[in-house]
Amino acid sequence: MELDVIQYEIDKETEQKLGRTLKKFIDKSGADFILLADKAGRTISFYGKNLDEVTVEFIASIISGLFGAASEMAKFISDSDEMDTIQYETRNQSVIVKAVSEKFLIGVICPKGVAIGSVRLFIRDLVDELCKHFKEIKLTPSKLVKLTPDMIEEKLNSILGQ
Amino acid sequence: MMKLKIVYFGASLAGKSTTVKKLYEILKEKGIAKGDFVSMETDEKRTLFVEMFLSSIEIEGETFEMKILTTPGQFRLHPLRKAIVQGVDGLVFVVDSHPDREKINFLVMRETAAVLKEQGFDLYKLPVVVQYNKRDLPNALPIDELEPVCNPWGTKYVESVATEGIGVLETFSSIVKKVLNRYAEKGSV
Repeated sequence: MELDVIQYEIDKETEQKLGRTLKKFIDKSGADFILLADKAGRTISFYGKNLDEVTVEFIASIISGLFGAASEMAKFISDSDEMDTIQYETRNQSVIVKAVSEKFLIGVICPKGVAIGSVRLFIRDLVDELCKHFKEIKLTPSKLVKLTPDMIEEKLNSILGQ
Repeated sequence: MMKLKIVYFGASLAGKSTTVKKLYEILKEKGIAKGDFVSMETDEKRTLFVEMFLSSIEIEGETFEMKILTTPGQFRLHPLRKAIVQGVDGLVFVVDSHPDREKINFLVMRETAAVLKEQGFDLYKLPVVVQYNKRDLPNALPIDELEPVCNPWGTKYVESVATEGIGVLETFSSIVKKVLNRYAEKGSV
């Protein structure tokens, strides 16, 4: 298997559907932040809390790393096991990270006052809905950059220096 | 916008964290690092999980957002390394030039190849740049001696002294070019 810059392509319409689905989840569940990312830690969409994109990108990396590390732990215990959800608490927040299909993850942050059991029920519905949207995502063999190697060389040299 | 993930790997104390911190400072000065440098360290200032920052560059109207991460070098943190290399687009192999570290450099490379293989990737086909660090050591191993062990790709290498920032930007520039060239359309489009 070859690596691609991003191995899937999300069209505008699907992106909007994903965004609306996340918003609906926040409105219903009482959670105050949701992030949808791929397992490599790339943000796809997020909604809630007033966080800037850079912070969200860091959160995406951390949740994908946490999920990956927990998956490794699961494998130590049972080879055939598969990671599905991790949940942890800070003094003021509960955090749930859940797999959505094979490629993606959601991270949900809730204030401590919110009943976590009901949030998990909403997450179950959310995952079903997201999976439907993901069926519309095209898997692409590779993404091409509309640049030649010479152009890349020249431009990077001018940005980064020789 | 294209999102790229570039991971610096190598033996513990080879200089991955120093390299990435210096790189952040350099790119920040050039105005192309975004936000803060994020670091998860032990009390002894060793990388526990990951260090990372974001950088964004624009070429011909296309934005490339790069996430630059390090893996923890200590062997006991091997499971965390697996989590970090998921979905990587390009790798920098930071090699410690100290003679006592020759074997450990090789072992880390072999282990990283195994981790990637487990995830369905072939280390030998990925864009990689080798950064020979600590070239200021009086007893640094000669490059001719390191190359057959640490550069099975026969890929570009850069000599560095990360503590002084020497070779840091050159390494980064090389790996970005390699990653982007993989996706550059053949010929001109």
